Amino acid sequence: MRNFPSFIRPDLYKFALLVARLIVGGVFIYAGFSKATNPVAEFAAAIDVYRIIPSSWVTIAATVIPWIELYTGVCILFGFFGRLSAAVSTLFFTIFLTVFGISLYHGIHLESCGCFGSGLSLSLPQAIAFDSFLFILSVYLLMKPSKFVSVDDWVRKG
Amino acid sequence: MKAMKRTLRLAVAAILLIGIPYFLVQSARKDLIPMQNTPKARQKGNSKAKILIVEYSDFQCPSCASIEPVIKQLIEKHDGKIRFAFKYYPLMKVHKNAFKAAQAAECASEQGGFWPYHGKLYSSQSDWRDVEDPASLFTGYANDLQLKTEPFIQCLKRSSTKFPIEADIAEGKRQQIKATPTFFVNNKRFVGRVFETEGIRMIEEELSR
Repeated sequence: MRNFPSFIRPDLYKFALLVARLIVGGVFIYAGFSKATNPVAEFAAAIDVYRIIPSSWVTIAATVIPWIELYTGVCILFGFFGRLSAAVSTLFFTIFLTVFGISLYHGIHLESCGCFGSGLSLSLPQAIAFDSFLFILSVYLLMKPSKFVSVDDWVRKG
Repeated sequence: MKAMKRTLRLAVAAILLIGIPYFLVQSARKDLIPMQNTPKARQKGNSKAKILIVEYSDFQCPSCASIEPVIKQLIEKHDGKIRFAFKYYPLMKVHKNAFKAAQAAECASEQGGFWPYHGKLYSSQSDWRDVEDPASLFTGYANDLQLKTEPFIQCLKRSSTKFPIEADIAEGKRQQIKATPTFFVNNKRFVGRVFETEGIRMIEEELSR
């Protein structure tokens, strides 16, 4: 039974999934790292602008989210608990896109999405476009976890 | 045997993939240097107060303007228990008149009129923020507040007026300040609206002890 379109060679397919892991994992690592290395209050302020989380939870969220992003990125990049980490990234992008959509609907003006802490600054429309692309890659990794050059494969072969 | 090998590999992978990122983040985190004292002209309240609030602010920032009455009310409510210090942090990339506004406030400060001028700048923010050259407006505010106009004008032209503002900006950068208003309440940082909730809650809890 074929698992992929017939015009795509299996080895190319493996590399395509690896590239998807590199992109999604790399983005999560960059986002998580840039927020985790900066004062928590900066990211807390960025979250608070969206007015989604109650104010009393904002600092807790700002403390925890960067680490979840960082470790999700590491797991995706290195292919460790591939399906689980892809599920987490899919969930994250679903939440991000929902939050951005609500912000657009309510006309909340944001100079920056706050996605990357003090790093790359994206406007809301840019963030929506970028995250939509990453959401698609995450869903794909969830449906077809990549075992090519992965820690999961190394562990399994032990 | 094979199961044991797999478990061992899993453990090694987990330790490395959890430990290395954690170590890298801790290594990359910068130690923040202690803040320097703010000039007395830009401080108000009891010098022996239990609570010290330091605000890094931009006169052209709308959030800074909207939080100004909140600060004023907080200080009045807890008269004698809070000391408040103001530091300049104009975000010049997005607010073209912010630095000039800070200079005007510094010139008012030279004549002992910092706080009234500070209030005036925030309350009339919409009048001067988009003006090409706000100098005449700023001079008008000085006149309204009965400051001496000629020394004020001379001060605005002096290059040395920039020094205290640039010093605050440099300090703010070392503190990794990215947005205004940023508050330090007894050295604990709060940014923007979070100050109104968590910051004020912390102050109230501290004062009720």
